[in-house]
Amino acid sequence: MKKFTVLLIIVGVMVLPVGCSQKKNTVTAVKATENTLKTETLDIFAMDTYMNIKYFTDKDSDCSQKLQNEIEYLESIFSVTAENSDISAINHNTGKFTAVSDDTMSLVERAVEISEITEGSLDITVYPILKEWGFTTGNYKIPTQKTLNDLRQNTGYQNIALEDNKIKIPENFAIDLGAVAKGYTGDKLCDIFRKENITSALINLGGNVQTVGTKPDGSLWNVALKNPIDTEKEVCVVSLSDKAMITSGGYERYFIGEDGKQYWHILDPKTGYPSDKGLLSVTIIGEDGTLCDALSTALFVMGEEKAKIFASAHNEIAVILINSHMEIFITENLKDHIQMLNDFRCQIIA
Amino acid sequence: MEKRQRIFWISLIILLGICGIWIAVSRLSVREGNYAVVKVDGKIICQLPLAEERVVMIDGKNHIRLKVVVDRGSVFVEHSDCPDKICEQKGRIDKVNENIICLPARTVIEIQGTEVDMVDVVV
Repeated sequence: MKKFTVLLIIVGVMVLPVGCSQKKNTVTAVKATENTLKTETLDIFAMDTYMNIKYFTDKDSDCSQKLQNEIEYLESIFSVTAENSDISAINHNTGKFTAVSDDTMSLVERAVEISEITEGSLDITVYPILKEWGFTTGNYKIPTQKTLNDLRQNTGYQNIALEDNKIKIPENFAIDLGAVAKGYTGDKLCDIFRKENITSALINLGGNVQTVGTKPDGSLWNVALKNPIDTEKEVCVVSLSDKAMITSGGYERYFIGEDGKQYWHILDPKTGYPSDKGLLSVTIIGEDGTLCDALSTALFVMGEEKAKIFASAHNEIAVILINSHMEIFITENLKDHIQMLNDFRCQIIA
Repeated sequence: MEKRQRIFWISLIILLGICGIWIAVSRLSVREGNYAVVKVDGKIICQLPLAEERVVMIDGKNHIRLKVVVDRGSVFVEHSDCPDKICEQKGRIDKVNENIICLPARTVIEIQGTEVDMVDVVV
């Protein structure tokens, strides 16, 4: 009898925790206001990335088709590899003006403007160097110093000539809109949502996030930021509405060279080498997706000190910098919208 | 009670205790109701409940096959024929809205479920 009682206790101890359920950082998904809205999602592989768009609507419309058409159209004109794109036409017609679409003209003009305000930290003419490193093909290699010096002679955004809807670059130059195209595409998709009177949408273009309005229950969208040295974990969550949040980091695309060093895809136009000035990731938050996309690259190239100065001088954006010591710096305008995770702490940029 | 009998009972209690803790921990780590949705080129191929262990072979685009494993409440790509292996390197995912992407195979494995995390998306 005694033995039976002991066994009963053991079994009881085993069964008790199994029946419990764990709820950590979770909320019930079903909200009353969502019942009248349909959730629509769109998944597309375009611009060399996976795009996922989610929106909420109470009507039957062809919005998904419009979004897909816009993405495919913008990819067809911005692609650096597609034969018939505007960018290929410019790159194959060097030394002469090439007529381009309004969108290409608008985006190249914007990229040149941002190159100027960032003193060349963003430069869409760096493509020949990017190609030499193998980041466009996956055939990675470390170019020689001489090759880089030679290629750098054929770069410089100042050499892009703009006239009406025509663009000209010098011989041996090539441009690539990879640093700005997804931000611009996100802005155009937001325009479609506004025209369709859709007030709740989350656009994720391969890590470039843009939000429209709030969630259907009126709460803000929560966008988490990856830990750049352990990308399965997050460092913080930012609550947003009607804003883009775009991150650039060396961890996104890199290769390990024969010398054992890590070489990432964000190149410093002034040296031709991967930018390595103390930053692991740069996140820009703001209303203008094109600007956020461009500045995430430009501030990464600037490095920690210059990026802090730039961030504190531009109130139209909010910035999160993570340096190589895993110190996190944020702009003052973000402090009420950010929640740190996993014991990370942040410092305000002065 | 004899010494040998006592040792037997103590060993049994320890063994059962360890088994109980192991079962409890593995059950607790599974978020009931969550499942992995596998999409190829935007089309849903299958839905795999995270509570059921299984191995599934997925035929992605460009003749790339992926071996997808659901185990201990999470899902991961054990093997892919793709050249970059980024999907394999991603490791296990178990939270709603997390995903594994294989660009060459145009395949996405995404966690969905009745419970959602505080986070809507990760960048």
